[in-house]
Amino acid sequence: MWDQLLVGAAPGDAITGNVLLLQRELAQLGPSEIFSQHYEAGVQGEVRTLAELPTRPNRDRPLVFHASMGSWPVYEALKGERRLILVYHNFSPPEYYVEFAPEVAGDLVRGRWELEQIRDRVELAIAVSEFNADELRQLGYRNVVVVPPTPNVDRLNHVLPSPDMLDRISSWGPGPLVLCVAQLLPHKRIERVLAAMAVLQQEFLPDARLALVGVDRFPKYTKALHVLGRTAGLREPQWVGRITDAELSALYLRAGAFLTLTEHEGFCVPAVEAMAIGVPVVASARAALPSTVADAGILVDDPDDPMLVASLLHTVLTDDVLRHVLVGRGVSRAKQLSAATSLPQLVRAVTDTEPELMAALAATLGGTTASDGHRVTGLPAGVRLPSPGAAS
Amino acid sequence: MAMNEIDDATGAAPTPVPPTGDSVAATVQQVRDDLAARRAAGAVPHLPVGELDRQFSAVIEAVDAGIVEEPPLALGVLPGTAHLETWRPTTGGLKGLLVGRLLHVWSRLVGAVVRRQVEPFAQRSTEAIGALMHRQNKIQTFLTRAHLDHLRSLEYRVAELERELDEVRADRTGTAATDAP
Repeated sequence: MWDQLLVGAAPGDAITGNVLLLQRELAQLGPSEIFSQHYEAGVQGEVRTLAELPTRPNRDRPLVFHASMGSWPVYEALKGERRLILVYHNFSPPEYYVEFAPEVAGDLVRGRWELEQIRDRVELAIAVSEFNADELRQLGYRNVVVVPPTPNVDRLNHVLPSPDMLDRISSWGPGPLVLCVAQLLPHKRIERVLAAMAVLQQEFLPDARLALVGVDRFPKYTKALHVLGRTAGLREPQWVGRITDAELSALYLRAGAFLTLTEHEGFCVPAVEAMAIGVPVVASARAALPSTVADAGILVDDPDDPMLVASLLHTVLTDDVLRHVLVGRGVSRAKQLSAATSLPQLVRAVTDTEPELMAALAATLGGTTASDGHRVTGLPAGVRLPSPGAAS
Repeated sequence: MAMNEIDDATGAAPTPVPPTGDSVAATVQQVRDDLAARRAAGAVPHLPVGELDRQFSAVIEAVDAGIVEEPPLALGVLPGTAHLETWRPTTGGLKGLLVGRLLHVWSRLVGAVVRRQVEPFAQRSTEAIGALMHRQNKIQTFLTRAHLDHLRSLEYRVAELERELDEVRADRTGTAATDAP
């Protein structure tokens, strides 16, 4: 019934995961396709090309557009769409990219302009956090609905940790492992993580080790990070790169703490994954992180102070009582933010844009439906059907 | 609204508010207080505002300037002592087999002699190259640090001059205001 469009689709990508989960739900109501400008091997069977968008099966229904970056071809393709539902996953601040990838900075600047241009055709704007909603309001959007993303955080609980990765982690030594899961992007401020870990090793825990899980996107930034790590005296940082879920599961199993000191984040799915699996989170109090982590982790309001971050990490890694409290709160918080909670909200927000369709569906189902959003057998959770009276 | 409920107005999961007397907040505050006390006592240096950014931008400049190369030369890539292959006959037939066997024995003898002569030389060469690489890495690290320190001192000097300029401007404004009729 509803089709979706995104700029890039890749296995393991949080937005792609979100899109696939939503499609699975919407497909229960009728045909539902996903279109993407770029896609990587592993999702090509599930995604259609941007060139196929004009032939999409549900042209009379709004197109669900997931915005995460500006793209001229996508903007051009959107000109053919009269009705849109915008899901705003956030644009990274362009100023971080001027130094390392000016073309990406250009895409990000243009992305905001594109959002302003399509505003009048957007029937519903969905932001994945209050932080993102504020950004949309600044772009002139009204009636913005906040629906958290739908991270499939439980997936790692169902994956056997990779034995090879467990062996590899053992070879790093007996010290506590601090895990940072983030693409090596400038706005993630990986340099803060390296500096804090260097201080942690030099002042508190010489055996502590850092594992960085994330794809290297900009060689110049990555090179500068390696040099900074060396000049700061950081011992044996493990640049793990892209890994499988089984390998990530092994890393979370052995991690003593999850660390992110990003400057800009629309939601931060990895922090939720860490909480779900029982790893205490230390995060910068920046962007959407305070609302995502809330009181279930330690929020650092001055992430540029490596001594402060190292002191807090040391406490988290050595204070068993604190760890116990953080793990308990983290698991509860992750449940609140899991797909089981947020996916029905997203489905409801999307399907509510077509009250007549829902009324027709209610009539077809012969009055067995409820208007209070309760699940009806055969329908995705979250679908709200009007009462039969309203259908007439 | 209870903490675990979904906010229907916004659709967002509510952000839990730490209760008063929260143990995590208290521990974090304790860590902050300890650090502040250590800094006040001079045990830990105060960190100038923007210091990490300055250091990292200096690193980026060093990378741009090509002063640092990644990775540094690794000693492990040095090959071991040269391996000399023993000669093996290529022709067939009885004659070839006989000559080949004789030559094979001869080549082993020659090989053993050559190896004895070459091995100490190869060993010394390997050690010399290793020492050179070690020295090169040390010089590279030193130059990188010196370059970064130089950049940082320049940045401090610029900040100092800007501050002095502001003070001079403020003084002038004050004097002008006093002199005004």
